[in-house]
Amino acid sequence: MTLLLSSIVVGIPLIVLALTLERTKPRPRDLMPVVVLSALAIVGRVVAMPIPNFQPATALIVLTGFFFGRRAGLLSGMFVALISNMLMGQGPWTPWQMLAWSLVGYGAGFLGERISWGKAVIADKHKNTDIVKGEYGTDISDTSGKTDTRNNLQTKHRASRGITILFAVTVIYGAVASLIFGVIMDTQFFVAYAWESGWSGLIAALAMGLPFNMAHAASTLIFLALTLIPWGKKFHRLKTKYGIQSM
Amino acid sequence: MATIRTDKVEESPTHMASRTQCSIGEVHVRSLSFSYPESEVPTLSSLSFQAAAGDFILLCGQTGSGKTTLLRHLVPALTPHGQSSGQLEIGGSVGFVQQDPDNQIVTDIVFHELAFALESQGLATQIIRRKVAEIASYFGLEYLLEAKTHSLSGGQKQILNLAATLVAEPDILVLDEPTSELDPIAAQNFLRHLARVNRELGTTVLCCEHRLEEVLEMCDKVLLMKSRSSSSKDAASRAKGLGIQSYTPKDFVESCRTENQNFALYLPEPTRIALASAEISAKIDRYATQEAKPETNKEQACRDWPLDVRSGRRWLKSTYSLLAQASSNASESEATTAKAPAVKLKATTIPNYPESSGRQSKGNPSVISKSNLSIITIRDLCFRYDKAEPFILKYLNAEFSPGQTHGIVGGNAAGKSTLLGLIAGIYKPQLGKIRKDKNLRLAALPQNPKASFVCDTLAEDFYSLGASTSPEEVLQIAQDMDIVHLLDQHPYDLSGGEAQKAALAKVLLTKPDILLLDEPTKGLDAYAKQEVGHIFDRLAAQGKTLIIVTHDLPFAARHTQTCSLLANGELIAQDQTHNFFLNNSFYTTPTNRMTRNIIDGCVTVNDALEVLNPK
Amino acid sequence: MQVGRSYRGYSLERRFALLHPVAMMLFFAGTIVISLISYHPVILGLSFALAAISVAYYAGIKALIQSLSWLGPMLIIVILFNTVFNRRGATELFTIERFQMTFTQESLLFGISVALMMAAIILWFRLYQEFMTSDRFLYLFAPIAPTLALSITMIQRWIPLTKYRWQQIRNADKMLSDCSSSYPASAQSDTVHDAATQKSKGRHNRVTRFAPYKSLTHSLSALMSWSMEDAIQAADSMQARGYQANTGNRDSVRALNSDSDGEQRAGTVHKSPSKKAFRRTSFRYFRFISHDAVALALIATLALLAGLAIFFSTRGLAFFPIYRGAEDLSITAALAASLLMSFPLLLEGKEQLRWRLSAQTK
Repeated sequence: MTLLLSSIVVGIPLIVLALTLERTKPRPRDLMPVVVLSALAIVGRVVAMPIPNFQPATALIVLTGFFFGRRAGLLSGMFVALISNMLMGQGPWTPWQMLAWSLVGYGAGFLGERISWGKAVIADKHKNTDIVKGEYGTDISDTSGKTDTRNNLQTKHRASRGITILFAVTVIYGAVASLIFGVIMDTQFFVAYAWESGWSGLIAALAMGLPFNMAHAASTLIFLALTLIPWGKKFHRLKTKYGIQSM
Repeated sequence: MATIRTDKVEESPTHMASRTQCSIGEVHVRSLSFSYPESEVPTLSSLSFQAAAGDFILLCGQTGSGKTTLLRHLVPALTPHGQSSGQLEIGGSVGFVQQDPDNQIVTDIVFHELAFALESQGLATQIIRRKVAEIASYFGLEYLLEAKTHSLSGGQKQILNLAATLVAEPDILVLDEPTSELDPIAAQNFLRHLARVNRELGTTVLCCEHRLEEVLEMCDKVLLMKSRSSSSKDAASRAKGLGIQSYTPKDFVESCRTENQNFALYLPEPTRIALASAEISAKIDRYATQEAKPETNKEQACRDWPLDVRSGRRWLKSTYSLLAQASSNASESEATTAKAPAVKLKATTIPNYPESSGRQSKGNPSVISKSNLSIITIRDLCFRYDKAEPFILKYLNAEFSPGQTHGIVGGNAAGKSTLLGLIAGIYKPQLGKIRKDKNLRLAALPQNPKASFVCDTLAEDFYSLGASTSPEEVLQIAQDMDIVHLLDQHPYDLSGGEAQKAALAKVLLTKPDILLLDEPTKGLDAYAKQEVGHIFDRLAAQGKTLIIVTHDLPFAARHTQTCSLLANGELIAQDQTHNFFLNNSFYTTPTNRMTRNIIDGCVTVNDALEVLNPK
Repeated sequence: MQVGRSYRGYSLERRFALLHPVAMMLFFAGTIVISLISYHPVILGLSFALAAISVAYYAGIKALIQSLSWLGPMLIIVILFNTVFNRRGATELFTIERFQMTFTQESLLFGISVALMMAAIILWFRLYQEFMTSDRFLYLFAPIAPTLALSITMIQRWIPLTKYRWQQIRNADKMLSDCSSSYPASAQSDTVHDAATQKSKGRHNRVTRFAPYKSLTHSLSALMSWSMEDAIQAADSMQARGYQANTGNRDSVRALNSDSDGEQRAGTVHKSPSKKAFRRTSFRYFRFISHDAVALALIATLALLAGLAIFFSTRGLAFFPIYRGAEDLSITAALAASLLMSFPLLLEGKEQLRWRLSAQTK
């Protein structure tokens, strides 16, 4: 009975969310990042299935939200849960996962909008790398590149500090969001199958899920740490080259 | 792939070309100019051309001449953003088919893909059902309707793209290099479908295409886009060089002899042979006048350029008969004995091979006989991807000798790429052995160059190989490949030829002794192909062993020393390239098919020209 | 769990697969809701048994065993969890003094009931997966949210494409890294082993130890870039085929529409010949025929009947503090529930019977 009720409770906001997103009508161009990154996340989740809870899906949803906007994050969260479960097996957990992941994506999008300066820094670094490459093979480019290395060093220093903060904030957000995702899913377990055992049961359920959630958070942390800056640069390039807008 | 900047967001209002309707199926472009937002040089400058309803128009031009930009102007939804002026009159709706078969498919099931355009039009299910069924029957896709789009072959995918575009009944069809990613047989099939659409439905077709072999004979008009000549420095004179010229196919061939010589390489092989041996006509002229040959005959022989093998054979025969007469005249007059044509005329029944024995020396026959010298020996190789699947390779035997270029040709899904993967060690054979020298370093070039780039610039990508790559090496190889100016670019911004060279450079940085190349000419135009071919020749001359898997028979004929056919899971007829193609009657180069039983021993255009045009 | 399931599986040849998705969806919804309404052992047992038989019949014994094999541990966890943490029962089984933990019969029973329910639901979802393929799901979903439905279709198209590209990139990378890592070793093999080379070798070893991970992230980046770059072409292809053109007039594939500013940005002067905006339709694969109407009516009646009967007759069921009310279930409830849950099997039975009969008349 609780499972039925909780599914309804979770299902209604999901339906409302879906209908709201439906009305935004994104351009195909702006929708493509969601499609590509969701597909990537789904493949990642399915491939990483043998290792419990160690998967890149959450990190990819965070990246989608962070770089392509709140709605992109929401959509991506919903799609990843729904479609990966089409491959791995649907269940009463699907609506919960959809909601939890879209919240993660939405939060990332919100964060991305708040620290849009951070993305500017990444974009800046994108430009800087060209100069760095110039130093790499001085014999390739002209030798005048050496004279203003001091200038470059200064801007690089400033950029690197900005990047460190941005990096830390986002990566920590990813880890915390994974934990929250885990908590939501553990709550689902409790509500559906053990609600008669009261608060001690809830705490026990959360405690039992902790190692798995930690693994999840660690995987998100590692994946975000590895991809945030390089992928940010790549996203920036794609956005300017093809005029992709955040959703 | 061309860099296309569309829909730039924060852009001040710009001047636009006016766009109006005209009668259905017609296209009138009047002095269209266009430049991209951040570029000072116009990409298109006052281009004018027109197409009548039902025309099949071929658009030609070298890489970077703005073909894609022009074609995109014809599709309202894809008009690139920038400064433009002029008039565009387009009659009716436009359908657009792009280059890559995979990337245009949006949905996962064929049925849905065909319905996509109709869904966008907001049609009712009943109408969609009918139209989808209709178009599927027209293109013979009925049996694939419920298939996953991913399971189709490249050729099927591109035909699906054509069908999915045509289902909306466009009046004008615009195609941007639709066959460049297909193997020759799939490309032929696609172009036949295209010709059928043009003939049977009267749809106006504007097609940009490198593969003139097929298109030239089916098109009504050739539009040639002149690219800016890199020699002229100032923008004004560069812009002047731009323009578009319209020819009939025959005129176009004729013009390739005179003003557009750099396009001759794009022409079909029979045409190239006929064009390049044009001075024969001068000889015939000289001899024929003695006999007072009717002028018309000579005209026909020289002006009616052959466009395919059939007309090529006719041309060759008539040229021969004229030559024969000329030579008999010449021997009678005795005055010109020294100038008698050095052409071996074939008696109608008795075969003679005076040339072929001499030509065989090209491919050094001694090497192939010494099998103990081979560096890769494959014995009874069997392989399949899954226990439930049939064997792709069955008891395959092969030997590859060092310092040579080996070609492996064969149909689609014959297992060519699988064989390369096995040699490279990506897959493990289920049965049999691949013996290779352990000290030799192997490297493989993937079929799609995109698979080999991982970084944001080419230079970074080269350095990502590891600590063992020094800047000097990178520079050296970049110079060899002529890609120094591209080192700071993003790998995905390169054109097909550039990307292929860059991928090759990356592979070469690992200093391999054996290079495995999977379809290295895919998506390249004739020039890029020639360039890549020369690089291969140079590598072979440096003592590297190359194994090339390809569909491109003329390429294999030119740039490999041994060749073999992979069919039914085994390598058949591993032989010297020259003999290989001479002994094939169907699976051989157009030149060989054209000259068969008329001149012997011709496989490549150069072979034929050596006979026809001796120095 | 099979990931790369073929589009037309064995079970899709069955009679139940011919049912219209609406009727099918109602069947699954009804069955699952009825299994959730109460913890009555008879209903749960019935649900579990019929789900297991159905899965075995349609997806094969292997699929059933596979499902049960990962279901098993979960069920044990659920039973243990409820037994350990629930202390509301009255009948004591045993107590562990040291932790002051009392295990009660009621909590064990409750745990078993919940586990049975979980197993039944998961098996029903397994059957759902067998029949509610993505095209059926999208058929139901597309009229409500066409854009989202299209996005789901596109993601499904991109999944195999992503896998394929990953394979290509990994193969290319494998070849390159094999080659570049073997190089220093072979170059050093014939040099004198002095301290310097040893040191550099050590450094080299460290580099190669992390190289696989580095190349993995490189490959991932490449996969993303490649997919994104090519996806733009798909977006173009969608627009070229009139997506979001918002007009049904075929003389203008695209017309300006006031509410889609994205289109205006492409910025061409274009006379819109028709102001009438069309809504994107979605093609429907399935037709609703009279058989479906009968099946739908049957399923709806059975579900409603079973649901109401179970709800009202098992209100007295309680686990805590003392288990009671298990004998209250009405015959109607049990009958309706079992009829509903065996609906697909009955359908197959009818089909088999008809075959037999037609074979005899021949």
